[in-house]
Amino acid sequence: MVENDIILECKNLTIGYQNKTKKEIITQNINLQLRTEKLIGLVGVNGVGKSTFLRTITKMQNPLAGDIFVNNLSLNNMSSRVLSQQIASVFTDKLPQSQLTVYEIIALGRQPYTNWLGKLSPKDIEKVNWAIQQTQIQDIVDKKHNEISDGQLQKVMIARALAQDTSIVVLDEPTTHLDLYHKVSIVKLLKTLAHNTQKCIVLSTHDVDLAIQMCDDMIVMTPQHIYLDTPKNLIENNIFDTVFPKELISFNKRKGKFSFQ
Amino acid sequence: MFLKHHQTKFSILLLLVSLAFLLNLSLGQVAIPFLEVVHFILGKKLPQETWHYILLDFRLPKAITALLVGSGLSICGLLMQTFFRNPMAGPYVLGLSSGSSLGVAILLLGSEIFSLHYISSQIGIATASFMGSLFVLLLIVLVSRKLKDTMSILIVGLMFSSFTSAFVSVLTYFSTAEQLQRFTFWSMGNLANMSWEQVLQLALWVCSGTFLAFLVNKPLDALLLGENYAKSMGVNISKTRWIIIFSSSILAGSITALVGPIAFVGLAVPHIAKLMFHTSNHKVLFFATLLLGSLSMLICDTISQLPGQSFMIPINAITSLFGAPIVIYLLIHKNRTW
Repeated sequence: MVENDIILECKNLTIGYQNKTKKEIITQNINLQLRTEKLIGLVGVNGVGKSTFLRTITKMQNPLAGDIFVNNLSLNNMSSRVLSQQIASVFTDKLPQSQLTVYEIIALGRQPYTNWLGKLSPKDIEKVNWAIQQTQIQDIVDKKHNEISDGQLQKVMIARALAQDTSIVVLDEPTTHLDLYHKVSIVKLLKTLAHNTQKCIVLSTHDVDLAIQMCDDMIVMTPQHIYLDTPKNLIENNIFDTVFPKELISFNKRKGKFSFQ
Repeated sequence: MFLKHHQTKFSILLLLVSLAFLLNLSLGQVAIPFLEVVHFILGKKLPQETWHYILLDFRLPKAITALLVGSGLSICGLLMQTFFRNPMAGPYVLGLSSGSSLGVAILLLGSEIFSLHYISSQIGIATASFMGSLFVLLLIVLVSRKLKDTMSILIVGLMFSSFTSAFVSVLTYFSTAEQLQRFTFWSMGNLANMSWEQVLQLALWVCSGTFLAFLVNKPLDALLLGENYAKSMGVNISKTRWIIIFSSSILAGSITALVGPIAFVGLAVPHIAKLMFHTSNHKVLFFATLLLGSLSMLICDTISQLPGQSFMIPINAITSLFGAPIVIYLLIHKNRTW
């Protein structure tokens, strides 16, 4: 089997929070290699540190120890502009009130490449149109962002991340607040994008069943350890049994699903 | 691309500003025919010597002051509304003007208590006013970083306004009648009695503040998606924050120093611009706000000098009379405007 290129690597990474008086370590000694052309699902119980991990690899917060390399370059010495050409993010944040149209939001994704006035070049416009086409939101490009549904908005934010033209896209719980149909269609869209555009797409989610079925690889976070493997191997190694406290939920290996006690 | 889209609206606005400017010059205690004003602007000789004198030494500096004050305060409001993600933000509401007032009050009223003896100098007032507004803005930024809730920022502004007025009342108790009169006149706002030298000073401040504001149009667009997205798109948040802080304090501080606190212009004008141009694009809003700010201040000033009458209404009363209903209207229709 030919392995894809390594695009993001964590070496002896310790994540957590630090304020003046104390350090709060969430997970220690994370060693991971994320590769291109993969859809990677990040799962774990609430509070285990999924968001902290994503915030750390996107440099929204600093690691307590260890290094992160993107394209073999250390995240530490990377300027915010260069970083924004490598990693695009989709957050759970509610957008502040504004009159931005869908097209304008996607065009903002070109900011890492535009001049100080933010003027779009023909190439920028081409990229924006490509992102719109990939996410199939042609019908709503002229609408204001508060006139569309949650599912559509999620696609718009994914299109914005695509327009940013990065090798890595990180999404924090993109399927929350969506119905099953839209959950599946978002994850399916991400999978197609990962395979067609050679991107490494990382999403955190609480829909573990969905992730098992759809993702190429999964990162499973438990308080003790962090695992990265294919869903199949993770099932075989009984990793999913450790995700939730055993007294309520257990993993049914045969069905590939969780069952409730 | 976006500017071209709005060409007609910008042309109309530009025309309206020019008309309002000429009208402002023509109307007043002594009415000067509109055509003669146009002649004056074109540099021709006027039939009456007094008209020339009135226009050159009194009305022209005042009209230019109105232009500068209107555009400066409105740009300041636009910056703060996007930066604090708060549609109700503005130099007056957030207490920048109160900060300026406090600075000036300490200087004018408290000169004996605090033994400040350079009270009469204009530079002293300007410095005190600038320091006051900068102080309040830094305070607000500090609070806004501690509390993510945008509502609390307004409350800080409100609290600071009450604190200022209370502090000023304490000061008035210890000050002489003459000092009190000076402060009261200053606090009512006055565009008139500006010497050419002062107009030049104001122009310099407003231009530099506006130039700084122009530099952050692109990061402000990114900030429309919130701070996290802006950061992920390569925006240097702390640099942007400092440019916005300096720009707003220069604008609010210098304007308040020279013409007194002016209410509502900074809050209402950016909203009128957003309503009129149906966009959040800061390149469009920047120019729209600039023009609409000038226009509204020129109109307010024309009204305040009560054509044909020998007395004037304080400019601050006029801006509040028109501004307050506009803000209430905007609140009611808030979903449509921002």
